[in-house]
Amino acid sequence: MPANAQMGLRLELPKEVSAVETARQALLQFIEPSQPDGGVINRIEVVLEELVSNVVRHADQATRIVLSADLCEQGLLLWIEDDGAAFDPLAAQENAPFDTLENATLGGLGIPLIKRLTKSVDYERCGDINRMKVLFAL
Amino acid sequence: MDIVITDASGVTKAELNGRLDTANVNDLELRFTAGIMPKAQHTIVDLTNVTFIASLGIRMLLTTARGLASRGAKFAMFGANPAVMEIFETTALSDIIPILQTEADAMAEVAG
Repeated sequence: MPANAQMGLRLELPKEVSAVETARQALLQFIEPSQPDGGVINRIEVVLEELVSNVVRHADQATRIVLSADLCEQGLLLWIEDDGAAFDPLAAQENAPFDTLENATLGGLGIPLIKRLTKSVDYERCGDINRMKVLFAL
Repeated sequence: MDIVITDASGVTKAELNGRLDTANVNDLELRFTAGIMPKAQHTIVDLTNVTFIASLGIRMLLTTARGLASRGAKFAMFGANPAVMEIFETTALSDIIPILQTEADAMAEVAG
């Protein structure tokens, strides 16, 4: 979607922790008519949490976040945009999988979660905007 | 997010209630670690009333489990609902921290 969207959900959010809950409530309301099962809703909530909180916690130069969502034949499309410095979170190398408690890496859990809980995830830089796009099967 | 920490027969029991999301973990993490780490004893965590977890919650649990392990204390969890369990399995946390069905199972795990 997200520019000039005629359908779907579009919501501007402040870059603060409360944005996560605001986004969650709006998205739950948006997908309610589709009646996804509880497992799908949980996956959507986890991915939304990771995407929005990543911007809130790490995008130092960002001033705003835009959540967009739309339904398509493949499922639910979700976009999270911010106006921070260009950063592709998908380009970072993933930590090694957990093998022992002692060796487990504490950070970097969010992006692998997003990849594994979605049908697809993409990043693009559009002008001065970072845009993450994810697709869920409903 | 609510937390209740008690001592049961020399085992620390932490009962978490609510969503382990970004806002709540920010508020909870210090109370969770401060209530568990100084005792440095085996610990079980009741997840029965945890309705949601994401990466920050996973990190909080992992940090505490590692801290206890470095002091020779065991850490186990129990009562995770299917949604929470899916996230544990997706991150492979369940490969390195025991996650049991019941409190009795968790007590047996840390006592063993």
